[in-house]
Amino acid sequence: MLQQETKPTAQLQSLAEELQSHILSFLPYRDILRCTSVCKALRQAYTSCSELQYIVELGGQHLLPVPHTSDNRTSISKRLQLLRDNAHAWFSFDIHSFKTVSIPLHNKMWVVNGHLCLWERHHDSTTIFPILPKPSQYTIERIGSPMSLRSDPNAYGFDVLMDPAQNLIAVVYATVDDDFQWDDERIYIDLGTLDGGGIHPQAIGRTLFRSELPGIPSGNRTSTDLGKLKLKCFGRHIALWHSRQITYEFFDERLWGLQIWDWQRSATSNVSFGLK
Amino acid sequence: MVHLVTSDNVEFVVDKEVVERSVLIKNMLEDVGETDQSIPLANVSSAVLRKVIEYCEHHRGEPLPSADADQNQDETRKRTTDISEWDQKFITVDQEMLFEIILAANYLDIKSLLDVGCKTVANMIKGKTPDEIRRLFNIVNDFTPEEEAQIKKENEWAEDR
Repeated sequence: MLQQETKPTAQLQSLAEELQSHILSFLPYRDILRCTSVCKALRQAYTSCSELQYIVELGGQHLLPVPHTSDNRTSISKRLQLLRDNAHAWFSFDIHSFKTVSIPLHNKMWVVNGHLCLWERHHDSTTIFPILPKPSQYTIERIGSPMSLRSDPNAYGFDVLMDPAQNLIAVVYATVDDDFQWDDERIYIDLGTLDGGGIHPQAIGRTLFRSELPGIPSGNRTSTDLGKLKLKCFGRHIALWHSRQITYEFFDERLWGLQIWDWQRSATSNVSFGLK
Repeated sequence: MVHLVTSDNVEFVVDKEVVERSVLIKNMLEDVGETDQSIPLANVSSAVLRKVIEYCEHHRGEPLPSADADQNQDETRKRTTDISEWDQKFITVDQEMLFEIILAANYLDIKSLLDVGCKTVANMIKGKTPDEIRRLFNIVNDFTPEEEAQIKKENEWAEDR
């Protein structure tokens, strides 16, 4: 008798490994794990597919997005990075390194490059703590004499940036001339070294000047109110973002400006944008 | 019109627009150009191809997923095993046909149909114990008791949450 050639019936366990893992990739991590104990074929599909292992790892850490929430935008790779960062942070956490710091009252506080930076603006004092083991192992404390950075006691509207990697501190402030014409409001950025007084060796000078932004004719406005000032540093460049309310006789407008200095080369900015 | 011949020697004559939802056939037609010659599909039976064409007819004119959109869609696609109502009805077939459709969609490279099939299987698996999964798909447990105990131990962390 001739054996009739029959195609083997299509079944889950006889599908190609890629198809099996494709099916599993639609499952929540718990179900994926259960499948690994069903049979050798499904276990193999799991162990040879890194995507499935990602889902299980991330799912187990509750790092996978939950359907129908707003948190669906973070990509898998970004989530993996978060997971690694989290794990790394805990492994490198030194339980003997606890330290209590007092946070100044009139302060700004932020984290940059693994350092916690504190700034007390009345005394120009700064403190920088390394909070991750790597960046630099020592604390910088700089208790400047008051006004050592800002030369004008009537200055207002502040922001400060510190960059431990470049030993740079920069303070931005606004000031007006003595006869109090609002049109004469000026914005300065004073530069200094983090670990002491004096002019920063790489800086072009002590102060960067803001130039008038395009689109603000000085003649017909009645008053200008400074909004926020924000400083950022990107290596050789310092960016200043500021907003201001300009009142004309019949209407107001709000302007945003961005200026960028190459603080090692030029005291006046060569890039500026104004936006209404 | 495009002529397709199945493994059991049945000829289908299908609209080019419909059949081009298969990336395999689309590429073939681009390589060969206009032709009256029939395309042999040695891996697909007439029963399965009928279903596949039904699916392509229904979804004709819908945009095909492009290669680079794939990467982005992947994220959201993976989050859900939702299947549209028509697809749900379409894929309500016996298990053998379901896996045949998955195989054909994979061979013909029709990504959306492949996903519908795979999501359906995933939905059947969801929430079941390994034993229930074995019974459902008629799978023989080929682990030794020692291996099984080992895997159970490895997976314990996920179960008691």
